Amino acid sequence: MPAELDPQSEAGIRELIQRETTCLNNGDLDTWMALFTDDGYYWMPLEADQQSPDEHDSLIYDNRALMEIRQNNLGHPLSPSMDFPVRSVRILSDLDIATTAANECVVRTSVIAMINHKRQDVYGGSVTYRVCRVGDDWRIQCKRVDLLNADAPLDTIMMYI
Amino acid sequence: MPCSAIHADLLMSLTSHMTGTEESPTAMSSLAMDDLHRLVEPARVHRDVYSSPAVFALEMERIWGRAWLYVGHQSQVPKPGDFITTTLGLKPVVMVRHSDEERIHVLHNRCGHRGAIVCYQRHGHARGGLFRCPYHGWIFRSDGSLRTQPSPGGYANVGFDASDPAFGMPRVARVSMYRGFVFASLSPDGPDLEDFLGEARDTIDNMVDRSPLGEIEVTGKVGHRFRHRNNWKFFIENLHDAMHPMVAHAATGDAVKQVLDKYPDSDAGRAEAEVIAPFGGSYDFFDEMGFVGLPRGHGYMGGSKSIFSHYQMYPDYLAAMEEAYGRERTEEILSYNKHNTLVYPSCTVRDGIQSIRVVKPVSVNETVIESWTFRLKGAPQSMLDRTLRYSRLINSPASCVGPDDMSCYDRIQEAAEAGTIEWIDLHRHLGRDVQAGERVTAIGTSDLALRNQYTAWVDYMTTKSGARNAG
Repeated sequence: MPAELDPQSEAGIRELIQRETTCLNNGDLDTWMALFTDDGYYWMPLEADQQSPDEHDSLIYDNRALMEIRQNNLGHPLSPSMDFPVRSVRILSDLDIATTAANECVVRTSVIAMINHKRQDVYGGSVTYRVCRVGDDWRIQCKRVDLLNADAPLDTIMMYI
Repeated sequence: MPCSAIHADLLMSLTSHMTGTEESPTAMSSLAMDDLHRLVEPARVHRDVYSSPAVFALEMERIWGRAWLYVGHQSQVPKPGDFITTTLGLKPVVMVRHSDEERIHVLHNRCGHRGAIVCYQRHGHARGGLFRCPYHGWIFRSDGSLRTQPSPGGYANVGFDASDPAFGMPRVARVSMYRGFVFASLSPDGPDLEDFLGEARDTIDNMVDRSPLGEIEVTGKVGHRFRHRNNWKFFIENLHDAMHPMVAHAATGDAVKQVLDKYPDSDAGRAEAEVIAPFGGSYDFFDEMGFVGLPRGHGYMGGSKSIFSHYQMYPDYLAAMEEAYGRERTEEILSYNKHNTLVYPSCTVRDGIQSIRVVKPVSVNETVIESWTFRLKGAPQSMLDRTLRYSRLINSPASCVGPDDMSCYDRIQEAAEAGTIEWIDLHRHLGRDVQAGERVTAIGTSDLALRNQYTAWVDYMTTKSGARNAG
């Protein structure tokens, strides 16, 4: 049974998730990426209860290199889709933090996100973070976003949720 | 005649054709056919092909109602009673493996009683091979026949014939399978599937042959469904539009290059660059790939060279292939390099990366592009990893290149609807095509790729039987 989370760690994790949300809301992918471990990744499965990104398609399954590619692409003057700015906001429900190993926690929450790009699209779903302690900080090893409508016809998803 | 007059005449004649009001349907049809002819010229097409609801309705009847359309893959329904639901044109259908004979049937997804859609589930298993309408409880077998209705006495001696297929879930007129790929036609007439596919069969063969076991299977239960708020033809026209990648995808290409430059000594971005970088290929690169137009609107780019040519070879995959096929045959299979074989109008097959994209028209300005990825049975995980990476980067609604394609289609759709352009140009390399038997070829950046689709479009739309294409 992993030890109970000390108040300082819990505060660190809450701050990490808050910063992560703020970075995305501000479209600041540079700072956002730095909140992940070097081998951290962002996963948005295509199917409910999908077990792995290696056996079937995913909407997004980005390592650091892909995060950087998307960051470079966002607002690129040669991109036809960037005639419209990408604006977004997301609101999370309260965090459910569970310790899974020494210096490792799983954080569960729900999200409602709106992305404005030519139109305004609304997304909702559950979010699961696996976070770990790196030195004095907490970082994200994996962020998984399960959209309610992952398997429905979707318009272009212009920003991480 | 001024262009705007063409537009007004056409809409009037098509509208009366659709509503069937004033004259006999035959007279209306021929009038409409004359007008449809006027929408397509050798070097341009009229904006109505993208923006007129009346033209769209006729396309559903004359193209999508006649051609062989992709339904699904046999691996999606492995056991008797397994089914998927999908659409053919606008018509909901069920593809189901039959309980007794293991045949795959494609049934109209509607109850023979009041017409309700019987099943909304996208995939599942019909217990006992039976479908039950949730409204009044009529039950159908997986061959589409009516099995029972509750309280059947009400139908005794009232002239009701339970054996009439109309009271079942009627089978779609024709269903056929080519190497596990199931196609159906809503028309009872026309060429058989193999004739319809013609040389496009080679692409399907090649995808299957790339499995060391000669078998492929769909991954997962659902594919990507990418909504396009524009006409269905933009997507298939863009497949072989080799003048756009270096412009419309320049940003993505640059975004990848920045990452490669930043980490010159690491693997970071290499796997992603392998997929994305060829989209920024030069005009010469695409010209050398070339375009091959086939009858019935089909076509492909490449042959010996494509955007997959420079993919790295995984040694364990090569070993598995050589063990299965021998060195010479393996080389033959793996040197086959086609890009986006279009099976007009419903799907595009990428054998080299094992994916298929399926066109689902919704309305004149809405389309859903479904994509499915395949596992090569007997191949190492590295091959599936690449297939899935490709699909995420290119086919997903969160694709790295999709938003830029979409933005360009939207711009033309909106211009066509607004009437800010009357005619869409197809002049590039006009008159320089090379006809050789049934094939017509050109360098890769020719507009032949689009013109070849419109040759088929006119055939389907303006001949009563779609004679050259479907009949």
